[in-house]
Amino acid sequence: VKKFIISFILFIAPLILLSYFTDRFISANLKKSTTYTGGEFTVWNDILESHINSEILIYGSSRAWIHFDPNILSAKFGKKVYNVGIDGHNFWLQYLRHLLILKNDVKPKYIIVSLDIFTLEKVKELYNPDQFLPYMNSDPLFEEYLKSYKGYTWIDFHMPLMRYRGRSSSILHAFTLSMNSTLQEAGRVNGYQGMNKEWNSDLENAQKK
Amino acid sequence: VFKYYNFFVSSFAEFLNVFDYKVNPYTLDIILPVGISFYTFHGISYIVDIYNRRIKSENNFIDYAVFVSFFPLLVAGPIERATHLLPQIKKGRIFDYTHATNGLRQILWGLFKKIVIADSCAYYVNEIFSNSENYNGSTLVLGAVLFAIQIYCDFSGYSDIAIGTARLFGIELLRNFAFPYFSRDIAEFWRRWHISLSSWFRDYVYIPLGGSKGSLQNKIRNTMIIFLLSGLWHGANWTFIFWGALNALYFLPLLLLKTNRNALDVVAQGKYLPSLRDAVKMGLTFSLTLIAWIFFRSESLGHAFQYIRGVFSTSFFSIPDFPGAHKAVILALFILLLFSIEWIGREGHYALAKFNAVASRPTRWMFYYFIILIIFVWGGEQQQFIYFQF
Repeated sequence: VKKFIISFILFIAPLILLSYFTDRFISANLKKSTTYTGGEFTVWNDILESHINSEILIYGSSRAWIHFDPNILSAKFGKKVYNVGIDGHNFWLQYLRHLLILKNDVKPKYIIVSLDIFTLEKVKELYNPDQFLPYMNSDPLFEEYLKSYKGYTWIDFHMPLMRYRGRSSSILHAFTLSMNSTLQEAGRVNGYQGMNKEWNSDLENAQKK
Repeated sequence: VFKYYNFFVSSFAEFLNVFDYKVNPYTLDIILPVGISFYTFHGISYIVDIYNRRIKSENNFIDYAVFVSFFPLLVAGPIERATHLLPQIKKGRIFDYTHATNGLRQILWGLFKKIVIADSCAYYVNEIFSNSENYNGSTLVLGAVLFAIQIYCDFSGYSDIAIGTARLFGIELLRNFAFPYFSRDIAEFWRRWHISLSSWFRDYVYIPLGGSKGSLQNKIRNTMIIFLLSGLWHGANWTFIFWGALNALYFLPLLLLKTNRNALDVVAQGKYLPSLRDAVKMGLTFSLTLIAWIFFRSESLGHAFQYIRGVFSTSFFSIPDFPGAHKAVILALFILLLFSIEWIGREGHYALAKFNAVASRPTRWMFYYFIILIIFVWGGEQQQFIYFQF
């Protein structure tokens, strides 16, 4: 039994040590991504690194994220504006961002909330779960607000590297960024990302029907 | 009652419907007890073995309860025998280093098969079988191949985990798989696939019925009975019964020509590669099992026939095309790794059984770390074990 336990410890110890440093490495590099997970890392970084620092904040889902341009609002109101809209999520994770902002940044003076019919509809599936990966063990609020979704379990929040299991795309992305992160496309600016889209003929087709 | 009542009454109602008798059968809405098939088989083997005086009845209820519901094998086997397991439970067990490390190695291999191969295949299999009418013939063939690999890795992976776990407790369970896709004919396949079930049916149904002795009619009857029972055991659906019948049809010519015991040894024993003749035989046997697996996986017989019609169409010669095809390249590499290691280790009880003897400790540990890394990074989305439902 003694020999077995010693062998087991000798086998496991490098794994534990390696998992801790690999976790740090992957998380640090994944955070650098401006486009992966729809650019949500940029917003999470700004919140957790106290870079929001705005008097007006825009809350909501993707409808907030893509409809409210902080630059236009800033020019109009003469105040710094930041859009913290979170793609695919409704009140609960919008509120998580709010609590983290209160904890890490200056309090906003005004909050604009983009409401829609889905705002108070709780879903079980965790949409775009990879966006939380580098931050999950950085603040207990993440566990408090994510645990009600089907996605991550206790072990993901408390054991190094465990939350990256099966997430080969995120791991490969982190390794790619570790080699060169400067060649990325431009991401969100103050949480907003302008898109140059042209109207298609869907509306006309629908009207014809 | 738990497993088959609804199937039989619904089938009977449908049968009456053919003669224009409208029947609205009363069906049960009850939860199937966990592992009912397995402890039923354990219980039957115990009673029959006492009747045949192979063992004495057990006086210690705890020992009997452990035999019937030993946790690693409760939900998906291997199906044990009282003659094999009860003496081990009663005997005092001393921790054995070699046994324990062997058990851990088998668990690791089982996890690789289940998490990396079976669960990754499941994604493509579910997509192709659910929308089979939209895919070309070559993609449907690929779907069937992936299902064959999925069910093997899912079930033999579970068996490896169960056997390895039991070994940590000092208990040797019956072997359940012996590299079935390296079989040279269907008879050999059935000696290597779900061994504990096949041997259970052989010992408790086939032989009591007369086995391969007696008239030609009896041989055919007995063979059909065990394959149909085996199909029905898998689930209350005509697809499983058809799967059993199809395997019986594959098996009968071998039995009647008395060639069913031609391939008793390990293929290409002591050699690196099989002969061309053995390779062709393995390919043909695998192809036959593929057709049968289509029935096993399909929702209904209609679906299975529609799938097979899709396979045997002109689009058979087109290039496979399905969502996520580029990611399947990595899966293909892991499948290649799996079968390479299984081929090298085919003379052992499981693929890594003789690894201890052929590799030094640093090599072994590097290999284990490599497998753990693959499981960690490329593990597919979690899927329930297929055989949990049986």
